[in-house]
Amino acid sequence: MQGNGFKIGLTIFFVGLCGFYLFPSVQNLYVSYKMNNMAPAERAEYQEENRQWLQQVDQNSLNLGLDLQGGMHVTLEVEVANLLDQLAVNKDEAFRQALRAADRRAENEDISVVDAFVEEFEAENPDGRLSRYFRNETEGITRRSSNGDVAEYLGKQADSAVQNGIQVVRNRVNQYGVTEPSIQRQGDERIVVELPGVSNRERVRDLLESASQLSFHLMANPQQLSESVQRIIEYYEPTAEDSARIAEANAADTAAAPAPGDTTETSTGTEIAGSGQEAPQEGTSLSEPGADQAGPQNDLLAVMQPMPAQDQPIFGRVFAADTAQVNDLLSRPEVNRMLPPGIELMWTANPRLTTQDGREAFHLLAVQEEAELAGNVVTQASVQFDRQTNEPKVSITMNSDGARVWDRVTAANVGNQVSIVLDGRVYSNATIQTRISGGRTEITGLDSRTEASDIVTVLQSGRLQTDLNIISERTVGPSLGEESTRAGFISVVSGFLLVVLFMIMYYRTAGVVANVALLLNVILILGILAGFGATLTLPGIAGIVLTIGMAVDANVLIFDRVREEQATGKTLRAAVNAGYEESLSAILDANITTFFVGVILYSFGVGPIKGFAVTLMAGILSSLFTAIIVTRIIFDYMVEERRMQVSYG
Amino acid sequence: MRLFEDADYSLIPNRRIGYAISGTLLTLSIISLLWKGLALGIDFRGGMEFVVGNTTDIATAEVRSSLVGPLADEPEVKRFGETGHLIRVSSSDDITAVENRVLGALQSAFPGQDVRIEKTNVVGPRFAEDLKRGAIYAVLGALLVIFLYIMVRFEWRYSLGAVAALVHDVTITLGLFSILAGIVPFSLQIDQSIIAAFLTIVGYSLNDTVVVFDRVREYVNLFKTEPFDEIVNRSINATLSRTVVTSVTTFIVVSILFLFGGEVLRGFSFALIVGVIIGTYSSIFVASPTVVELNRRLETSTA
Repeated sequence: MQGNGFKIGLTIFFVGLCGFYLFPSVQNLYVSYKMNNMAPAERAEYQEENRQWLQQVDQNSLNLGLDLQGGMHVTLEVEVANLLDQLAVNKDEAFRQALRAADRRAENEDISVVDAFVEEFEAENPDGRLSRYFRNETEGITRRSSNGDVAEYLGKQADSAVQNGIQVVRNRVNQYGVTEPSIQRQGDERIVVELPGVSNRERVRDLLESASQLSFHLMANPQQLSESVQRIIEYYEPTAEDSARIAEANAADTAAAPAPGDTTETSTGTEIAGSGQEAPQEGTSLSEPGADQAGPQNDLLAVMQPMPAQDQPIFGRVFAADTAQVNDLLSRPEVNRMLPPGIELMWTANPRLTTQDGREAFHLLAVQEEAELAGNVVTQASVQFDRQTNEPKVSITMNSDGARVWDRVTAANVGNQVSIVLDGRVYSNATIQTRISGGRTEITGLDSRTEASDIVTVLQSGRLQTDLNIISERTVGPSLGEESTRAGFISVVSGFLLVVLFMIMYYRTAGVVANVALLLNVILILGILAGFGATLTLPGIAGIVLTIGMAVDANVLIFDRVREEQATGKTLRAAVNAGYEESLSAILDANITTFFVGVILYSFGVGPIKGFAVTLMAGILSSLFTAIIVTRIIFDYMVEERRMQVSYG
Repeated sequence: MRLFEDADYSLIPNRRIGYAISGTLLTLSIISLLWKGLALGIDFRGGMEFVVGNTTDIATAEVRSSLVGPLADEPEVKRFGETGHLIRVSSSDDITAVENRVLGALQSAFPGQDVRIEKTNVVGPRFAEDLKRGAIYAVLGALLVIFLYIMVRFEWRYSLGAVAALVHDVTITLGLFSILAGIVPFSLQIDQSIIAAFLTIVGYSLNDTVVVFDRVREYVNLFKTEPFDEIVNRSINATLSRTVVTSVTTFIVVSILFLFGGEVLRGFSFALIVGVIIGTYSSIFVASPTVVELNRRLETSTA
């Protein structure tokens, strides 16, 4: 027993450490069990009282993978080719060719876009200088810079684009309000986003991919716009050859589209609620135009309802199903020329009307093509509530450059509308009430908190340097996750019990000792996972189950060796000693090679497979420890201290 | 309880039986791999996969036919567990658009059921290419590392024997995946988790092999006068009990994973079951005989 003090100390230390790391997980299990048994009101009260503590417990407990708790796992790729295209000036055919070739190569080979681009360019243009496309005084890229310098500069730009992408994604995700999201860089050009518990896939995709340019635009003058609307509607008026039918069609159209001035739809806030009742009828007459008439009709009015309002430059209202057709109709160049100069039509990002039968309608707004300000001047944006009315509002702070321009723009446009545009869609439009100096701006008159927080999200995420594309996505619904958790739990428990039974049957007393080691082993694996902040995935659970089966191997090797040694006539004590000593090399060799396999799996695997590799490696380490050291302590105690006769079956 | 206590089977002398079995299995596997090929999962091929729930009462063929129109393509549809279906689409359209098409088509075709999307898995072509490369690197890297480690700890003949057994195991498991695809009622497509299973098989099979080799190494020094063949045979027999016990416990747990681990782990645990059986067999009938053969060649060439 001498010399075992260290081993015992080590065991107590490791078990204590694992206990320390696993304690929050056990607490968490207990708390959720307790809360499940509470009445809803009681539960809410309990949660309120212990909010901070509950959060802490939840944070420190073992992370469950998205495949177990449900959620979304998205891999985004930063479009470096697009970035190079944006950075470059004086682009010629050689540049475009090299960029295309680089993009193709990066797709098929293990090479970054920047490296591939430089190689392709140099291969095609041996004497060509990249500096002519990427001259940039502040970054030290001059006409004389070597291609190597340019490559380094481009690499840095790509890197910062990825950093920027991570920042933007983080802002957006934080605004979305996911608990414990994980946003990590993977490799050179990728960002992995994990969002536990998220089920609205479409919204997340839009949130993550909705890329590029955030900007503030002035809008068209409503008076001027309504003239254009009239002209364009007239353009789509059927030709005069069938005048009787035209009259009929016009009658139908006016029924569908209220004439200017005779509706109550003038103010933004009440408009949507107010038009709610009449909308379903409008909807039917819009979607089934001329059901009772066979003659020619106005193509545009068939799918769009003009919205002549006094203070808003709304071109028209269109149901979601018809937006493509309207885009088509309005894309004709001669129609485009009828718009006021410098004006572009943009859809609202969110529906401005939802009918009772669930159909959504969007507004088409007339926005000035040229932006007044880029979104990156926004330094801060938040949702606030009006002290008196408790209505949600958005508060924006701009940097000094932005504030200066904003001051000028607002001074010259009091009473006009301004819009926040992201990716060609209008997220918000509001009337400038007064000149705004100092860069602090408020958007009021919003419908809901959601609307406010969506605007804040858009503002905060600012401007992405280049596009982000979803290249892989995995989502698991909560019920499937629960099912997997249950399946994993059943597998672990039944696997454990069967192996335990088998070991007792086969090795008797020694089997019991091995089972103690096995139990400790499972605790240690979970402890290692919790301690390193690793995530338990379904393949990870499979790894634990597999480890339960394979972990006894070391003990099997030892026990068989002890039996062999006993068969040669050795005393129990000598046989145990020899058993442990002689089998050590086989155990180590077998486990080290398997550990290598785990390392390789970890370095090349993605997502849940990494989880499997982690538990496999943790299992090998802990099973080596428990099978060699812990069982030895127990046997030493039984054989040497207590002089017991241990049966090896 | 004791199994194979004092085993004394003529395994090495009868190794030609093993060669015949392995040869047959390998030939069948290779024929099937060449002829029928392997079905790659979307991890390596790219595409979209949706698991829809609450489709218990709908026949797989009905699900498929309701999707053909909206998707303008014949999707692959399989049962997923008891209550759902797995739909594979090889489209590169916008994810949301395809998802809405799938859900919309099912909801309008089966209005009585509350069809939901339970799980999605989308892999872009570029990402799939990377995953494929990663998988190939992982498998080759694992084999190389194992070869080198065994060479350092034992010698090159053992290395070759171990790697031969591993290639044997992975080829036959792949072959079985190819032969059984479409016959068994669960998906046998090669995806990332199957690669993980293969590497685990590699680790497991190696475990067995190393234990035998370790005993050979010990006996070579102990029984210096015995011919190498007999030493190897004696080593296999001496470790046979341990080999069987470990195989049994491992087989128990992988069978449990297969039965209770849920639909997600079905293919993975199936690969492991096959791997445990083949891995145990190969450490006895492939790895050790290879070392014996190599040793003979060496002796005859030096003699």
